[in-house]
Amino acid sequence: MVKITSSDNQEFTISKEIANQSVLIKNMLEDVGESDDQPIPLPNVSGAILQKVIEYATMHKDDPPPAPEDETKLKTSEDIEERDKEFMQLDQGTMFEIILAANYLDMKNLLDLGCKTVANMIKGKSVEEVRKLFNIVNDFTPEEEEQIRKENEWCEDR
Amino acid sequence: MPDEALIALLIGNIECFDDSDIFKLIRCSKALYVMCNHDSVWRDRTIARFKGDFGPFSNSWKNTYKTRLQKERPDVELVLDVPLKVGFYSDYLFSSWRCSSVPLNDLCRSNAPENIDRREGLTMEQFVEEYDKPGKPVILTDVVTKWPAFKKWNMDYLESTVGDIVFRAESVDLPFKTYAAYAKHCRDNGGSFEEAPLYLFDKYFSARTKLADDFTVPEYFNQDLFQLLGANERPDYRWIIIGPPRSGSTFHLDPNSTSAWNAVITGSKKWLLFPPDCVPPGVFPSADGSEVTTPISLAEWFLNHYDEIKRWPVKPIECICRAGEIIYVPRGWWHCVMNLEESIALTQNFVNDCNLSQVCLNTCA
Repeated sequence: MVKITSSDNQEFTISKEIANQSVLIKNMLEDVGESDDQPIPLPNVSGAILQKVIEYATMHKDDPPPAPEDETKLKTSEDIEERDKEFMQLDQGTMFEIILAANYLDMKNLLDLGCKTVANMIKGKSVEEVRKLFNIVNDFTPEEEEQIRKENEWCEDR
Repeated sequence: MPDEALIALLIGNIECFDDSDIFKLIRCSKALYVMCNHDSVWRDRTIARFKGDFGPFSNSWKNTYKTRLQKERPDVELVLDVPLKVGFYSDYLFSSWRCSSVPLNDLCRSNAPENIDRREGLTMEQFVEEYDKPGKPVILTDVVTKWPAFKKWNMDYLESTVGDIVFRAESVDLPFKTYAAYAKHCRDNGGSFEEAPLYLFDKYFSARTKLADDFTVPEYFNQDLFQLLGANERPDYRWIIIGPPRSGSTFHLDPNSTSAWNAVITGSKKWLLFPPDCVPPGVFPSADGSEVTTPISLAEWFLNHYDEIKRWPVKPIECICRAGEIIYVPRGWWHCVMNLEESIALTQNFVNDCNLSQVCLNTCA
């Protein structure tokens, strides 16, 4: 079993199998060795987020290893599993925190899930709707906006 | 709105987003415009989607992508990007911008004193005794100048002779003429177009073209025991290397404990070489040395670590290998190479008596 602590000093005990889904933790464990009982500090992740990350890792602990990545393949955001869709039904703040945590902990599948979820939130929406959804301020002048629209709109998939 | 770190992350995983998503994000705000239009993003997308068939190269990777995309959408009118002058600061982008624009001669200290022997008229015995046996690098100045390649080769000549032949550049196989257009763009931009320009590094040229007729392996290096393994068994061993200014190779050891020679036909290359068992700063080899992690780009290495060398007890060999020169890199020497100008070069790895035992140990492992 492995002990980890969050930025707000919450301690979690998880199996090695679950811990190893984070390449960061996996590498730390290898460096530190079996004998050390000290909890691994994760100062960049809060307890609440770490809880969710552990939930994801537990859900996926029996997954088969991924096929060797086809480096030239563009990923699609359409192939998200139902259970993952449910997992990501969170408020935006939490969702973004999980993406940041997945990056810090080096958990590629979770990071992909987060990015694909954001991509899906954008689909089918107008630019203005996307701005509203993410609280983005439009700081272009009308002339700038028009130029960028022409440059980018023609090649949007219909 | 998610802060810059988050945007950087999304951009870093941009393969999760399709074109439509990105074009929408670009229009949302200046921050997203700048981050999503970062040309390295579009280089990756261009190569991922179109592979070697992305040509002709336009005036940026994004415009190249759009030009190529429009071939599939003849019903729509192509509108090329004209970059907006947008006031926007980003730590994430600053580092990349700095790496692409610091003048190369400052970055790599072209005026640094060189501490390598330059020799001409070496006999075989002299070479073996003074350089091969002791494993000491040297630049030979009278070899390449005699090659037909030295008189004939430049980008125009190569394009006219092998323009339609496919060459390998990092992860993509593309026709030489497509690469040539890209290289010209880099040249025209004074070598500040990209932080790590696409580097052509091809090992099939001798099978696919007659270019190998234009040079002869120097006698010092032509006892190559790998020949005994036969064409199918021997490891990769000879490459043609072409790159714009600022392209290059991060620190590494040549595989299988082989020695190498690297001949510059046109251009010039800055070399740093550390002796065997002296790992350069910022470089992390695996336990058996077969894999090397250098998390940063070559330009970043120069920005972050080059100064440290002054404080190191073991100083590396530093030199600039110029057109017409050939450098000998003995087995086990760590080296990195930065092209100071657009360069065309040839390189070959080999095994001879002096490094044979090391190679055997290595190949058996």
